[in-house]
Amino acid sequence: MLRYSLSRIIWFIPTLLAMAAVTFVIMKLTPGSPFDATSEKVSDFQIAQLERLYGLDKPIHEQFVVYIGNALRGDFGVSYHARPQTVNEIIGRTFPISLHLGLMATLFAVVVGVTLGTLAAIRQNGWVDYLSVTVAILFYSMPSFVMGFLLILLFAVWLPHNGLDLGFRVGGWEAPIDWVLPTIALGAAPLATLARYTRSSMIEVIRSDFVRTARAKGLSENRVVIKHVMKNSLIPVVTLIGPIFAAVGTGSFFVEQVFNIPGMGKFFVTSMQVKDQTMILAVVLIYGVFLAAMNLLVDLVYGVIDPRIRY
Amino acid sequence: MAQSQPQTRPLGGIDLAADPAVAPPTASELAQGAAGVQRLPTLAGELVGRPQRSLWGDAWRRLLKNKLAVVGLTIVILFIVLAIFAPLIAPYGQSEVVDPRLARTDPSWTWPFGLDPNGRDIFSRILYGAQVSLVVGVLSQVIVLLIGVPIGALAGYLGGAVDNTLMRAVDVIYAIPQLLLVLLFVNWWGSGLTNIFLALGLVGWVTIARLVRGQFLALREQEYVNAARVSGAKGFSIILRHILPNSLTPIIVALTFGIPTAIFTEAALSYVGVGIMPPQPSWGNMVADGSRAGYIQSDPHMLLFPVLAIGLTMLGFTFMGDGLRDALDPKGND
Amino acid sequence: MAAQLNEQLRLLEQRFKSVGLDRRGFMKVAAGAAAGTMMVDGVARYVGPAAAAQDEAGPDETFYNFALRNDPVSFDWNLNLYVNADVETFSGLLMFDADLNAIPDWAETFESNEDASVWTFNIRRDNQGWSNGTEQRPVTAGDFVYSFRRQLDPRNGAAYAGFLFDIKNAERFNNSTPNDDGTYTDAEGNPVSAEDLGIVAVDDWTLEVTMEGPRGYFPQVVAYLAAYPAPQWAVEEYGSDRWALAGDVPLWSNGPFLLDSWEHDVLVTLKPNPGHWDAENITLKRVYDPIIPAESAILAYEQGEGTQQLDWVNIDAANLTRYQEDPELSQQLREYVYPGIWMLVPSNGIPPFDQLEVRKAVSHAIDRTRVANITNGLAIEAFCMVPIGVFGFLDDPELQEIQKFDPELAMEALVGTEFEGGQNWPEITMHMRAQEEVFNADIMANDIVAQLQENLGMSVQIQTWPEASWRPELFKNEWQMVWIRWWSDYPDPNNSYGDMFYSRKASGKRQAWSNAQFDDLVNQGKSEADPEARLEIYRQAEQIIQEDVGYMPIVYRVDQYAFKPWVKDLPENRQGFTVPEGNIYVRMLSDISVEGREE
Repeated sequence: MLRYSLSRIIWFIPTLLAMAAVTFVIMKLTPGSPFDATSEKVSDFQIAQLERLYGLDKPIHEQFVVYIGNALRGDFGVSYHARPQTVNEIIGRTFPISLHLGLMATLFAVVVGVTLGTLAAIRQNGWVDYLSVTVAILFYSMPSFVMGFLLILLFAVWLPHNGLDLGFRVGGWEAPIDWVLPTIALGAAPLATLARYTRSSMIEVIRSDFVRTARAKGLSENRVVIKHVMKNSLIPVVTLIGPIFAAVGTGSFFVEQVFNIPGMGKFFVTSMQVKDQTMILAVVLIYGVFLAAMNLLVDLVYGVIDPRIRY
Repeated sequence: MAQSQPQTRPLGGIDLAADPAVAPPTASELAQGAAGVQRLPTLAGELVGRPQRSLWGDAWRRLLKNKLAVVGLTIVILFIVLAIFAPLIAPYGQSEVVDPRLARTDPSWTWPFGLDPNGRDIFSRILYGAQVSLVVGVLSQVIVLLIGVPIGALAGYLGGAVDNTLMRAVDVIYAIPQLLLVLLFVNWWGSGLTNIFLALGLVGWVTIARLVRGQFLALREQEYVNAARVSGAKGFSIILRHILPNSLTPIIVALTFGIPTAIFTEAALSYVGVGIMPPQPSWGNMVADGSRAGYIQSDPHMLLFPVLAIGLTMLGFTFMGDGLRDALDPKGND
Repeated sequence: MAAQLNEQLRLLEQRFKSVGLDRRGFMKVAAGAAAGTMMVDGVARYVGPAAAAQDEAGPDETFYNFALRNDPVSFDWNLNLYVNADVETFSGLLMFDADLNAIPDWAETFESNEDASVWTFNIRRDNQGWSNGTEQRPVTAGDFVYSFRRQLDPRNGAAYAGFLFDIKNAERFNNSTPNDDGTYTDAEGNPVSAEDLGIVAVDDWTLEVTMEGPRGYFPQVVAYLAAYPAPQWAVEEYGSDRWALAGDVPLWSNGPFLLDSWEHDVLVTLKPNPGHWDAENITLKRVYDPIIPAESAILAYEQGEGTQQLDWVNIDAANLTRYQEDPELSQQLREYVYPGIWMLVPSNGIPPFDQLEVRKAVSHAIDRTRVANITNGLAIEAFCMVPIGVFGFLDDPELQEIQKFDPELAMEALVGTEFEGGQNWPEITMHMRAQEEVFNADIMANDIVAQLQENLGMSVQIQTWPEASWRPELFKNEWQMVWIRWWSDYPDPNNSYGDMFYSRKASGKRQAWSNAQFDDLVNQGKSEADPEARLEIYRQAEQIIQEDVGYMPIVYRVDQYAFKPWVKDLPENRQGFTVPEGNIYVRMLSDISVEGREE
């Protein structure tokens, strides 16, 4: 297992390099300089000055080598858009917040989603099933920003106006109460995924031969569900949690925007809009490392729950 | 198992088209689901043991028996019809101003969905928006299909070095946040309908490539494929006649879910200002317009109807996709 | 022992830095390590003034300011005009009053020689204007010599150095190439240096600035944010990149307020600067700048709590009606015609707009009042380039005739062209910046497009561009039509006609249109000292560009604000508009007071 983990980690290094290279090349292919976003009132000469200052006048392969060299030493450079602040500074203060929110959202999604999915599968085509399918579909048919606005309006505006003040606020990230609504908005879509996925995976297992056999052997329904169905159907569900956490843990542009949360999710969009190359690369690499780590973890967990898999 | 397992899911992952947070569940969920199920030794044999000739007829009958699937199918067909006949049904042109002084009028009998900030009829715009959404949804999936299936098939059928190379490339693209990639392309080419579905397609094919590869990997070692090979069939014809038909189920289902995902991503792009070119309406830019904080409070109808349109379409495609999966999967036939 | 630990901490910090942990992260580790060894005395120095006891400010001495939509990038205006921090932390030589006149700030008086080619600024003597919260230093003429040189030095990459190009040799120095030995070579190959700049400190309190020629509007430039100074000692001690980032170094500033704390993406807190020349008239003891995106601001104004609340806010089109109809909220509304214009710029190089008739038709086909109304009161029709309230605004019925709205005239203009009767239009695209919904850019653009369809049968698509692509694409001058805004930087017609439409410049031309007579007039206006004569020059320029339809003025931006009822002494201009803190007028916090705040 250790050897397997090691080989996966070693394999990941070229993948990361390739990710950086692909992003780098596409970024350089797109026209314009990162300093174009400064303002249209800046002259070409000034932009050339800035490019020289940050070494962007050098050939692209040289820039890439310099970038990778610095990145290996943990220096991701100056954020061109927020200069003179460095990418490390910015990510260092925004990533923990996104991670925190992402962790809560993932927990919320797993607990509620798996429960809903399980109930739905056991009571297939009963009202619990329909309810959970409806909730799931509603949750993922609604973009997270719409969901966010609706939650704010309901809990922070409409209910307080009508005499029910639960203490929710319109935004910010100061007190634990501020965590609740964003967690729901961010966790809703993964919740729906997990619920639907648990349901279908469970139904699959319930219909399978060995469960039929277990039933035929006269085991009690609860025992069948817990011992056989749960265990076998949760394996594929576990594989989903990793990527979900990777996606949600690196922040969401929309949820952070709506709730005014100082996380790093915004850079998935804003760094593109202003062509902040160092920030784009950092975001890509962080996401990649995070995703790989989560998947490795999931695979290891997978091996633990499913004894048929050996590395 | 020791070798193939990590290769089946090197980075795993769900499709992140719209927003890391929206984490569109469907396409990839199915990709994973189908592959995951196929991997279970108890189920694999059963699948191929079935005669494939009656599959489509059976599936169709099973689909029609499934109430939710019928509802889904109806919604999808309704939307396609509305989109195609929008110019005949819509009382106003797609960007026609009814009266600028009546901007943001609430829904009424005259204008069932109300008017937008420019005084345009939201009902008409939803109808025309259906055209854009469906074009984006369908054409992006066509591109996904055209790129993803050949690459996945090649990797899965040939295996070895080809497989390794292709899948490493897929891993790389897969690990880059999708929204970021789409934005990169759109920044490069500019916004607009064509560029958007091109970008969506170019970014979205990796999921299906993986899915197809997994299928091919599992199927190429099956007895009937070996039988075909022994009886002298060439590689291409084996792929076309034996393996591809048996991989169709997950492909079709994944595409069914890819369409609403694309519609969603277009909405996200519009929200950040690089979507369809106005004044042409798309549900995405209508949601973006309506979701400005002020309008949610003062004119919720601007947000409500496009959100309902997207929601209903998602609902339709989901029900249909679920039904299709059940219907095409013979195990469900009890 | 304490010294030893300090040394260890310093080494540890370097180690952490080398692996990319920032100072803040390091501080957490260091604080833990230090607490463990009970050597708190050695660490206290590191914690800095942020942890110092906060002086108590009463509810009527506190203000929740709507200044920051995003996290500031730094406080170094001297290098970057758009640092997006609170503008009242710094003061220049001059500033603007609510009527946008340049008035004394650190310069108590200022005068020019006869032809306005040399300007002298007399700085308030023996002041203690600079402060980092604990120490003080005087603001002197030398500060501005240093600062202007720093901004113009091509090594520093100050993106907005162009604002100082009226100073003698400024452009030459800024456009020179730095050599490895520390010297500079100008475009013609001659050596140039900061010493060549026309900036001289006659003594500590007298600054003499020599212009490239007569520049009557130079006080307007000096009063603008771009001329904010930087403290030489801090730049040199902490580094050009770090001195204005606060955090681990104290921020030296010379404005009416000092930075007290900066919690990134959440809150900036200010306290008054006791050494500022106007300190005795400032009533606020504490200013909170919660960092709130524009979309959430109105909710923070109405429902906000703690430091995430606002005492004033911009009201958008969606909320304006609600405010106007509510008896209580309508009392809080304030209006301001912002010094900024929205205009439509056709390219006279690209079909169909290469034909004057087509441009004329378009100019007659747009009802400006309708465009203004569609914003629900956030715009007012424009007929000339310089906005209402700024010197150079032309309230001239004759000018308004040139491009007046008249659909019949519009169709008549097309007679004889291939588009007669509104037929045969090619594919036409109008380009604009993405994500300017805050200014209703999209709603107005959609209405213009609808009007062109209605009145000319011309079908136009809108292409939006993200920030990064906008500038390079715009400067290619390959767009058929551009929907573009111009916010005045300094309130002078030269900023409008010269900086926007002057065509004899090497780069940064926004439009293909050019006209020699127009350019000559702009040059003439630049060096004319007499205001009356200048006004006449710009009137002619306006007429030329409008008759040739080099641009179409559409609307001026209007801002609607809500101020809480306890905010008093709001600055008003001579039109009776409330002028809030912005890009030009930057002294709101110094002028207002708070009375009877409801907690």
